Amino acid sequence: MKITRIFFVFLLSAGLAFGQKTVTGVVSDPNGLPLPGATVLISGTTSGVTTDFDGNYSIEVEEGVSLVFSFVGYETQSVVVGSQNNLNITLSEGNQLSEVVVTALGLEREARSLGYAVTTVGSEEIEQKGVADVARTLTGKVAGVNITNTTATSGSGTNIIIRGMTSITGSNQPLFVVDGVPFNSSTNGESGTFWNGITESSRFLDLDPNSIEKVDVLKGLNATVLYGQQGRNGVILITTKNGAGAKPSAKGTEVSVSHSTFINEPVLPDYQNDYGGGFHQLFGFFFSNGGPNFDPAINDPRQFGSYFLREDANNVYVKHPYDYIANRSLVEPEFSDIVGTEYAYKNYRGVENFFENGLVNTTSINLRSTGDNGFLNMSFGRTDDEGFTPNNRLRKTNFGLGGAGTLENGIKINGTLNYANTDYTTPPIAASLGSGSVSTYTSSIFGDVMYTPRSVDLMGLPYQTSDGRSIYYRSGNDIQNPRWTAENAFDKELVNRVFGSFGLAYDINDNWSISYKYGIDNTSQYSQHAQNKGGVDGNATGIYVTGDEITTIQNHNFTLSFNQQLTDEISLGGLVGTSANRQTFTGRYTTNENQLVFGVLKPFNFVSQSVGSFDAEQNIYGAFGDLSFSYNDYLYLNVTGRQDWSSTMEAENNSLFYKGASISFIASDVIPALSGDVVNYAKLRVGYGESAGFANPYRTRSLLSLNAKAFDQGSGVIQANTTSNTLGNRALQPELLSEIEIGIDTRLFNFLNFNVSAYDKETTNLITTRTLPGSTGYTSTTVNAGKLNVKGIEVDWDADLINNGNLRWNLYGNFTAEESLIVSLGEGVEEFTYTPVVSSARPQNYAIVGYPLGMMKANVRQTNDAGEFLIDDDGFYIATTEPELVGDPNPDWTTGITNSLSWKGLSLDFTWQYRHGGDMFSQDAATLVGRGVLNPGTNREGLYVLDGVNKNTGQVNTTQITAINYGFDVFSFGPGELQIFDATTIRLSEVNLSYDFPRSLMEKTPFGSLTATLTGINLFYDAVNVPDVVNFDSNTLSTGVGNAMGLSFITGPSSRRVGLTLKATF
Amino acid sequence: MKKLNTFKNKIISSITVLTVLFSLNSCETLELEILESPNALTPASSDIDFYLNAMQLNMGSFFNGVKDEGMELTRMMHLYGPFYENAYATTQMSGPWNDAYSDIFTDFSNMVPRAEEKGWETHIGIAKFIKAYAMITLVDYLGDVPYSQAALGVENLNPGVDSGASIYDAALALIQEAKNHFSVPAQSPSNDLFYGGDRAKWTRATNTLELKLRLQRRNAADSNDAAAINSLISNAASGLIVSKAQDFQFKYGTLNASPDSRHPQFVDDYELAADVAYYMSNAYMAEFVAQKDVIDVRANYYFYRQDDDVSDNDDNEIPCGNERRPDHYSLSEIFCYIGYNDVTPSLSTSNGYWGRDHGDNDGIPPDGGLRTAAGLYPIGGQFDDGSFTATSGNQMGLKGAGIQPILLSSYTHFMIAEWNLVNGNTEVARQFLASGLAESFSKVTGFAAEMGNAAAVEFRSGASISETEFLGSLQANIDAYIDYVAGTGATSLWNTTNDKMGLLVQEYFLALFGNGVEAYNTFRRTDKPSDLQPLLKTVNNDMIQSFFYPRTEVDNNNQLNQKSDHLQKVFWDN
Repeated sequence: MKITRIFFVFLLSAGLAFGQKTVTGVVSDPNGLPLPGATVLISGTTSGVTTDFDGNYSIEVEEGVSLVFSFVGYETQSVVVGSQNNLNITLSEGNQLSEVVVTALGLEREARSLGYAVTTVGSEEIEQKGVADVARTLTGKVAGVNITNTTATSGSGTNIIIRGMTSITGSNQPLFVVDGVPFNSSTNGESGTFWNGITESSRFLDLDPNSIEKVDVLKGLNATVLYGQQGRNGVILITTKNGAGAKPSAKGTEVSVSHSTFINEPVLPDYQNDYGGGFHQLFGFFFSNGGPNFDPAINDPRQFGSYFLREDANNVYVKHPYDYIANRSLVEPEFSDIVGTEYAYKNYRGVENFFENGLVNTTSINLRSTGDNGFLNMSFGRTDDEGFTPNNRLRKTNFGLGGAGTLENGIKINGTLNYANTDYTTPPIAASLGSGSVSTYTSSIFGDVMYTPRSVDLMGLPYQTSDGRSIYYRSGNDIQNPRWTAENAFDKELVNRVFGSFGLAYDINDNWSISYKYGIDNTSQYSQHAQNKGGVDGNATGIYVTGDEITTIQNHNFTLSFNQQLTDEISLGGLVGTSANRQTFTGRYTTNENQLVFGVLKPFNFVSQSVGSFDAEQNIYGAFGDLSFSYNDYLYLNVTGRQDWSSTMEAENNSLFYKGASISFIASDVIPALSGDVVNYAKLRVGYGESAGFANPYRTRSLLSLNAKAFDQGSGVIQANTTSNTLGNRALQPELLSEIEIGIDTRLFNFLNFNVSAYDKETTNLITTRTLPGSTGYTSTTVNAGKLNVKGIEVDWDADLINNGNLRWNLYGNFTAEESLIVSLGEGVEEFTYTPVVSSARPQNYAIVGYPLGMMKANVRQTNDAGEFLIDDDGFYIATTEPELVGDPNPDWTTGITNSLSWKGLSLDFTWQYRHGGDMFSQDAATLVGRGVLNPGTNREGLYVLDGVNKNTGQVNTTQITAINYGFDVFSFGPGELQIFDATTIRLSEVNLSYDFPRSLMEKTPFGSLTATLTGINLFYDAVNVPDVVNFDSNTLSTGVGNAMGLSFITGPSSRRVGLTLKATF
Repeated sequence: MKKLNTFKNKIISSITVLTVLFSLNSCETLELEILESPNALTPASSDIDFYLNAMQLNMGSFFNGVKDEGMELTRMMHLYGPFYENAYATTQMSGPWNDAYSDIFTDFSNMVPRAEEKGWETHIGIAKFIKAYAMITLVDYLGDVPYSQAALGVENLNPGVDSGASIYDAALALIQEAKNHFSVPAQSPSNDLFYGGDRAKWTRATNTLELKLRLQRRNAADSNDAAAINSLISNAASGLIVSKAQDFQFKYGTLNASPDSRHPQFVDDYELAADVAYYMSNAYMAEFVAQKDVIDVRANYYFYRQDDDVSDNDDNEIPCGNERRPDHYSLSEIFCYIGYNDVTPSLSTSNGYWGRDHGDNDGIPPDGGLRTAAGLYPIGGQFDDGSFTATSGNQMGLKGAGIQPILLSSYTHFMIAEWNLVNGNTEVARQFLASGLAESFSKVTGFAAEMGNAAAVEFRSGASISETEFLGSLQANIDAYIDYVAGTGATSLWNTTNDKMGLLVQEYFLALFGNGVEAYNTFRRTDKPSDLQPLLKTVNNDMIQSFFYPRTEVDNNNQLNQKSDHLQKVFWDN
């Protein structure tokens, strides 16, 4: 035996000594660009090298042996080494044949084997877009994923819904998984109030888009089974450059630096410039802009009544607004010099002058070193994002470190550690009904500025008295001056966050491996809401609310996996594992009211304090398995299952088993007709998946509320305890979601990839916060009630129209259509609303059996039996008492198309997005048109007669109303149905023009490469069925992150961003 | 074989290492029963006194939730309308409905058994009083409502209704029980917000509630309450609330934060300078300042004028100020504001009372928030000294230390007067009308002193009303008023009117400011007064006979169907 071995060694070394030589070359793509990190393997062995940054490789090899060149996304090529010493290889781009996709738990699978759709978005589509929020950079880029900005305020939250909402009152936000571990993407907020929710950031804001390598979106339940109940709303898998999943790079060191500067410009309504404040063409210092024409040649002094002082060729001059302030202590003596002066009645363009262009600066640095046994990566990012609203700012600093390596004993270790510091501040931006704020808790800067009459000298009038009170143009001083708001009120979130992972893995043998990963995510958020005393909205005595919130997620994952080629045809792979996930939340809050010294926002400066707290913890434990077969590389079968246990439910109901299965069949490999010049490739897939939904913590037991400061009649504060109005439900069970998905992936005509997925998803036993009839003694409980169905279709396509080396034109896009249906809401319940009422004319979202989720109801015009509108004696519509259906906020379909053109180093791409249908309520349109600051093309001095019959007489209505009344009493404050618009929108969402400086030019510089990119975001949009002058953007959600839809309540203008990015590597 | 063993060993050792790591880190992660909320107490840790405090506070908020609607419908406050059918959304009664069932009823069920164990009779008596009041009022406003199946939690998620009459009977039984509880000495509640633990006063309140209940259903077909009413009345001096020291009222304080303990309407009208939220009723104010030949000094306590002359305001501030009265408004009817001349607007006069007509649903014009505010009584606002200055914020007047006047001594007198009038004892009725008026004046003019802040009746520099003159002639004016209305003289209103019930109820309404419950009930019980201001926009006066059930209740309770319209009468309304 010993002799045999020695003989073999001898033979082997002899052979090496003779045939061994060094082969070098460059691996490049069809465009001639080098492919760094491509693998060069000696066929039949595991020895090989990877190419360096310039695509160069060098390998010692015998003649006659095959070298296998491969790279993710390209077709693998095998070349026999002949006599040549130089072997340059061009890899052709792969279709789905060899593409590797990251799936649940970071498993890499061949795309062709998947029975479900996964969409990958690469770093170039995410980085340096002038937006600090990674979710916003994904908007419109993934079929089936609906991303809505809550507002254009820098730092505000972002709503993400994948494949429609499956829960009515629970969260529908997807799970974020960063480098393999769950990531807190919630919205915290010290206010916790619905109408102020918009102020709060989504915590994925703490990610630095520039450090992201790629994003994979798992949409269907079949794809997410292994993530357990947390993955039921879809999973956004983020691979950062620090993560072990980052694509392998060439050996050596690479440094890349990029910097971008963007201008952030508000898209304001197109204000009219001819008329100023007043009503019925009479001047007055009013909210409404129904006053006289500015031109003294057109207006008449009589229109100014007792306000009139004089006129010259340019202007009429009236008495100063501060002459009329009822509360004289605001004005005298400090503004005595203004009182009695004349005030020019002219267009001051207050709103335009109030907003300013913001500036967004982003710098990111990435350092990477790759060696034989692993890599080390460090990233740094800094964003300074000034909003267009005064005192809105987002500052963010990110550090990250990650690496992976193999120890000598074969143990693989990997880890990441990230630190994020996010500092966000904004003036209050709560929803507004047209003036001020809906929330009694806070003021609203947009609610007070957007409708400013044109004749109000917003930037010229003093806005604050010396003792700090807000002062403004109305005699009752009942509007908080928006400049005062910007100076004296804010919401802030300061986040310090650490997240990362520690992983160990070991290949027991060629077939078996074992791994363990621990993930930690600790978010510490310090929130502040403040307004100095002297305001008008919110608490006029001054308020300072602080919140300390710590969210921690710990996650352990333990897997044992195997892989075996059973026969030439059949291979088998699979894994079993467990995961334990623990989430804790601690919140401590203080509310300070009655400020003593103006301007000092510290608790000691307030008379009254109250405290609050909220704690929650939740453990989820899961055991799972995954088994996959492949037959001849054209038929794949995958079976998964998972059992989850949750700490939030009573022991008898705290677990659920769910499962999934999928088949992928590469038809083109089997059916010759599908493998020609028309159809190059065709794959059919079908998948079924389930998931569970567990209740949020503490829903099963009834509680006693204790109020330590219940009341004070004057003889001291007394306490009270009361049975909580929320009824605990011990019988609560997990909800079950199931989804069937079918799809077809094709490549046609050798240039078009066309993939379609259709799904049908159902939630049964819906865990729903149900309103109880008060007569039960409780007002709400959590129940298993109802069934919700979502069906949808998604298309991804891309076409290489021209690809001839230097010139390339690629067109790609996606299409999404989905429809939800509420099948039942539990026994005896036909509908309920899940958003709060603000007034009967403003819509709420409803769940109604037989309709899609989110239908909007508001009051409508009363009609008689013949369907004619009833009109009152004053000539106005009469509103119904009860709300009626007024709109469906769900878009019919959405699509996006990107044109990508490149010629040598120059490339241009631009993306159009289109939303078809779906209704939206627009308070902006109602208020701005109704109050006359916009002119949608009506004659404001004309008379109108509403179509209908007089309610009292039954005769056809002939009562005339003025244009001002039409705007104010009908369009602005009339029945709610009049403020609902079809939100069809076309949008030029993104344009990039970039230039890669030629390599030849770079040779004499320290740079490896240099790229300059000019980017425009949201350059143009048009909601075609909303009056043009409003410049209404349907990409807004005034109620913040959540399940509300189609509600826009003056939460700020949209914005467009234009910027320049320089990116260099060394 | 060896190879296989090595493999096995490797697996075993790997698993061991990882399991150790895993369990070191994750033992707390594996706890699977975290069910008790750390954010609240469990019912086991409740405190009887704290429960009673919650019930008393809910008594206040329940009453606050129904008082405005009653005042709006009886023209004591302005109703937006424009029609009765759409004056209120079906959410209108949600607040008091939930206050009653999910607060008062459930706390009652949880507290009473524990108080019984301890023999805390006074606690139980108070709880029964509050529950009875809430039940009676729900019937008065809504008719048939859940009672026997109510507040059972999971045991009945769809409670059916009981007849109003049977609920009245059940409330009467609770009242009788409460009296028994108050008759025995027992542990005093740690906080009795109404009577400071005085059981005698609680007994008076309970008797008065019984009188109110029995009087209210006097027209009901099977009512057989005469003897009981007569008995209550004959023991009035010792058994009923007959003087203001015995008033059953919910008192507010001046603290504006943590907890805000001020009268809610004060907060709405006075929190911000010159930003009054409510409109007063033109017709109601006119009763005090325009319709009689005597001075009604209560006007200065009820209403606070911020503007001395409304007639010089432009159309944008008072949109009706250039309009003609609707055809169905008679010439004697107040229209737009007191003193407005709709034939020749330029001849209008104004004494600064600026309210709105019944059912005027115009939007809020840019009027500077200067319309007439509610005054010192009962919301704890500013006394009207004729200085016509804008409200200057929350440090005015009684600073919100007002009351909810639930059962006041004057009301007892008016109820007794009504009973006597119904039974033909006209002279006794007159006497009780006179004594009721005296109680009302005494209450209102002494209110600031009663609340411990007599200085809130202040005459500031710039006041057009002289302090010495006003206070000096106060009692004389009161006496003159009572004499003018209910005097024995041949020219008193009482002696000159054929509609004595109309007069009695009209005067009762003037005493009821702040209590729409009794006004709305009395209006439906007596059908008086018959000349209330009509709705501005329609001749139809199909007044709301009972309120719709709350929408959330109907949507979620399959045993409860919404009423067909707002004209459904409650059982005692014949």
